[in-house]
Amino acid sequence: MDVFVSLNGMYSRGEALIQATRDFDRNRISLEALEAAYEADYAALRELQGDAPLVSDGLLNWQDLVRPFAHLTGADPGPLTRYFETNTFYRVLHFPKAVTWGRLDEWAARYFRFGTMAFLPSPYTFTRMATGLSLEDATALLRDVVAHLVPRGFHTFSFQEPFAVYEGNAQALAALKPALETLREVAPDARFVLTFYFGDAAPLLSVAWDLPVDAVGVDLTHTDVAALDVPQGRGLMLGIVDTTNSLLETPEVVQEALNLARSKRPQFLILSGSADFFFLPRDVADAKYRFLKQIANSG
Amino acid sequence: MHKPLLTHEIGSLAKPNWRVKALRNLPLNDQDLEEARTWARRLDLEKDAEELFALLEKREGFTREEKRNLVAWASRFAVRLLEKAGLDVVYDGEQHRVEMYEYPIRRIRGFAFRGHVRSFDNKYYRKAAVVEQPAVERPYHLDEYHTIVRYATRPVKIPITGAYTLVDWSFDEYYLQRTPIGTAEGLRLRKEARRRFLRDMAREVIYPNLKALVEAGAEFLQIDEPAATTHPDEVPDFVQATIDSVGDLKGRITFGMHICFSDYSLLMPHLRNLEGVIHEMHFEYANRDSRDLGVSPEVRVGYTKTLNLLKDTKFIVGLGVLDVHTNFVEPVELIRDRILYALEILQDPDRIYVAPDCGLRTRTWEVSFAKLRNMVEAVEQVKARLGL
Repeated sequence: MDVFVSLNGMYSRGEALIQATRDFDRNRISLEALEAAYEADYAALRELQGDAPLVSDGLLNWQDLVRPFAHLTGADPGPLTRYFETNTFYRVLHFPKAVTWGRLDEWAARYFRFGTMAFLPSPYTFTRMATGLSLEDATALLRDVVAHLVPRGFHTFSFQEPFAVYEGNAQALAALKPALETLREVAPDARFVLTFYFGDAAPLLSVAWDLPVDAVGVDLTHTDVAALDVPQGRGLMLGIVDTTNSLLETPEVVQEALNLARSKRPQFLILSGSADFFFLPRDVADAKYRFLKQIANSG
Repeated sequence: MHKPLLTHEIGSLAKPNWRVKALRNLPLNDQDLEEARTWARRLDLEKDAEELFALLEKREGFTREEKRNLVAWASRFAVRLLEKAGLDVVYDGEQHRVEMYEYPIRRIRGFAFRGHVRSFDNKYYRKAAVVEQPAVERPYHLDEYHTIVRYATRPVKIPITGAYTLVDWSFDEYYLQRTPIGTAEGLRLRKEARRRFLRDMAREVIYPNLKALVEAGAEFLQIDEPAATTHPDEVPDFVQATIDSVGDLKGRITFGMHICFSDYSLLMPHLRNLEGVIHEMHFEYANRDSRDLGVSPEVRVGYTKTLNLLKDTKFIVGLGVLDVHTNFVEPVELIRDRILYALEILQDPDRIYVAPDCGLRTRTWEVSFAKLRNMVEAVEQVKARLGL
């Protein structure tokens, strides 16, 4: 069984980049200086991941899971909305009736700096974080992004789906089938992961496994691995370190869940964070990622 | 202290530039000094403030004692600003504090700061982890209270960040130790750990602080819990933590609670367990209301749903009538109509205290003063109409 490690969605910005974004907002540094701070942070993140097969730029310049799409489409970021049960907020995107499309190549170069694994909102979560956006429109938008990224070396796509699992919404999940099939058409050889977090994935798994995905991601701060069934030929992405808490995991704390997950004989395992890492300060996030590498290598 | 339609503020005010810069070791400029003189004049403190002006002339390199002195002056100015606006109960707008999380956490034993995390966009906050059982070695709002009562000529209220919010905004590196992840037993232990953390914060941190303030003579304390509805399934735990925080102080003084920018329906029915523990339940309303005049539900859209939640409770309703996120100065007539509408629903002026939605720290003193003056004037008009 192959065991990989990966980031999960948006990663923590380093303290120097944090300071640079603050300074830029207060007109204390230039755009060039801000971009240099981003480049330094991307480099550090690249080094952290090393030669891991699943690499991401950590979405360091994403303000939230949907904001970059405002720049692509002209959607209007609305008021702050609480991001589930966290002390973090996002802006609901208001899509106008007539969407204006920007240049995808420039947009993708800005928001996917490097990597082999891309994190995108799942079509359902995308519609829940927006107004005026149908599932079909969200899918069409994501299809173009996926089609653009595949020839540029992205072979694994994680569609972030916190809404369906938080709401326990099996119906919404089932309705994702045609959307994911549409995405499949432009990336037939890519690995698709549907990543749940902020809720117990077990009650939804029978529906999730009916979708055209290679793996399902589960948040182990909410989900009991023993309750998971994994069909033959499918993989699991295990959110096995808690990215909402700074306490560093030890091998003893994760051992039972890891053994249980292996006993389900998934085709592959991706060890990752329970949710986005950006809920943690950078040093802590880095330490948790290194721990993932350590347990992946320990066999 | 109680009276119908009592007016107060909710916590923070902006801090004067001369206070901010001096404490950050930044040099003061002429404009900063002029700001101090202007407000001293407006607040009738010009004569007393000669000592302050002399100190500010130093402009930089303030000693620790001088900084303490400047904080006391900022506190005195802020208290006077609220008195001059005509509020019945006053505070100093957090002139002693950094803000509502970092200030208490730095004074509670058992926490260590871990770094910055993102709140939204390019906004971050410094987040701490509990690393041992929390405790208070010295109540951390006493100095502030003593400073304020020295200057205040009106009753004083002290806000204190509540146990639930401090817990929710912190990491847990103590209670969660050795808790397995991804197992049924681990999931159960996580919930238990959270409850133990909350219980200890309520009993070992918030209660001693409240007790010290009561023993020092405080008559009105406000527990701030902006995180109360963050985890809907934990609302009963939040309520229990409040009961534990007040403990045997229940009934000895007036306790208020402030919660804002939340779905208040999530608090029900559990909030009712705080009847008799918390007297005033203050929420934000104006932020979600229209600016049109009138006392119909169609116009007062920000008030109907929440007031109906509270209508049949025993709480005094802390009525937010000023939107703290805008420089729009609510006209007297608009505030008056908001109060009259609340009266139509609650049917009792004894059950209403009037205040802004939240702390006014993001507004200038100029705007805050204008908003508060109008609020007081609106209350006077309503009282006159009611013959109070």
